[in-house]
Amino acid sequence: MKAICWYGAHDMRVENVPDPKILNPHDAIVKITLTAICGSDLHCYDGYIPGFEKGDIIGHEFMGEVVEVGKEVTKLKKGDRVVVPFPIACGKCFYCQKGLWSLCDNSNPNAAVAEMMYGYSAAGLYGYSHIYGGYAGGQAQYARVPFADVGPIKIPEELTDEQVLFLSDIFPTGYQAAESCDIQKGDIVAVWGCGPVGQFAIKSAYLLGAERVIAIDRIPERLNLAKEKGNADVINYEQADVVETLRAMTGGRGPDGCIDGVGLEAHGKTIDAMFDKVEQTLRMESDRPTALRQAIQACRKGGVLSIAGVYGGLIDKFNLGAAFAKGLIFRMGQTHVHNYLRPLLERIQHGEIDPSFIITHRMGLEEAPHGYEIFKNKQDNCIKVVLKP
Amino acid sequence: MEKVMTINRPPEDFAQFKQDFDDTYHIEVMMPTAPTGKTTPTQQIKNEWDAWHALKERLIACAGNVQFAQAPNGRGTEVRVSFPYSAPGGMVGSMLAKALDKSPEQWITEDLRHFKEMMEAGEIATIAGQPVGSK
Repeated sequence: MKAICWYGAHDMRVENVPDPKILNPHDAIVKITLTAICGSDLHCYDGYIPGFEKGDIIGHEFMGEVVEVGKEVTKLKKGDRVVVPFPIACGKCFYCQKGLWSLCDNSNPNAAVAEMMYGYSAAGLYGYSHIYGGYAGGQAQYARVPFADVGPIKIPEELTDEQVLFLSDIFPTGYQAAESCDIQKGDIVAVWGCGPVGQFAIKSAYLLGAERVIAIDRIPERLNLAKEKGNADVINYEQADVVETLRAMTGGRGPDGCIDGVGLEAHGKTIDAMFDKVEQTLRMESDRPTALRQAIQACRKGGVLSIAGVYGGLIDKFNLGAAFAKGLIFRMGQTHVHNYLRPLLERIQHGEIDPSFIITHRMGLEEAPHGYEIFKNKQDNCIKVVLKP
Repeated sequence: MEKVMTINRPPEDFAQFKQDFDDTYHIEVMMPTAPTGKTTPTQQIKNEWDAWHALKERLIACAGNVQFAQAPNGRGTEVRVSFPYSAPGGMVGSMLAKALDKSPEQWITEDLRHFKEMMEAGEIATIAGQPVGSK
């Protein structure tokens, strides 16, 4: 089959590889009908996620048709059309049973490595480095799906692939980020980053009852999308002092909830942003927390800081004092996608949201390296690339 | 040296394993040798007993022990394995362990993890045999 493989920073290749096989009794094989490049794949593309090996198949947003099931799979059968959540979860451990699916105890074959880095291992993920298990990803024609009775959700015929694909990650990720803000009547939510996750966080904050959502970015077409489709007020951080503007827009209180939809490769105009760039280049810190620092500074007293953007390692000059002084509540982590599949599918079915609004580019697998390039460099107004194998 | 993992199953599910360990422990004369470098290939571990045997044999080989205790408030069973800190086999053993890039501690941890995975999830997570691009 054809698959997109990682070969180093800015080196994604279309390779011919063997088809995946059933390896465990709860596995299924899915013939992929639609897959996407995620913003978090760009961290891999840029070489900031450790633990990749040459030839690894990347991608964790995918859906398709079940073509084979392992001998202990009972809920799925050949021919079922499914969306696959990006964290791999066993369904039986303490964490899965508490609904903390992305923290599954039993799905990471390289748990020992993750334990060395992070103390404990989280769930295995598709196509997201050997620290997260080294599973072959979904930017391919076929994928092996472990614990097939636990993760994949069957999709009704009347919905198109483009309407449901983002249930695999970014819609639930934006939704969980907003839900974590514990939105109360009258709340104003600020969202850093108007990429796909930011766009879904904006939509979700309104779905959950936010009074107003303010979105922060610098890319005109992303700010426009947040304004046009997301009904957000927007701040271009290259043209305004974000903290002061947010203060003015919230009656001096500050946003009640602050969502970091950016993660470890933040850009910025401030002095700390320049330091971050230098320190990351010199490997003095692995992550650039520019957006996170700003969100901490801007958040109202006792507010929630919800981190959806990915962080991988160490950050420098973290303004924990401000967070402490203001009594902020921190929520973060990989999304517990399984919790949201059913309720968000229902919202799509009821016409409350059509997630396909973020797609700007459609291409075949062969064009994926080009897709990465334009997505990374925000060329051609690129916001979201979907690939049809 | 101790390693402990909580397995999300009630203590009664471990009674037969405890019995099995006690039986073997008393029969086999304690002649601790360096744990062998052979990790049971995960493909060969098909069920809970296979996973248990792999752990048990490793523990017996290094004069280790295992205890099962109820975790608080129905949170499963704490499975605690203990074994001599230094690699039995002395300097040669520890050099061997280093050369193989795995210490007895790591082997035992893996065996314990496999046992947990089999007891909870009914399979051992693996990527061995999955497709990969040319290196």
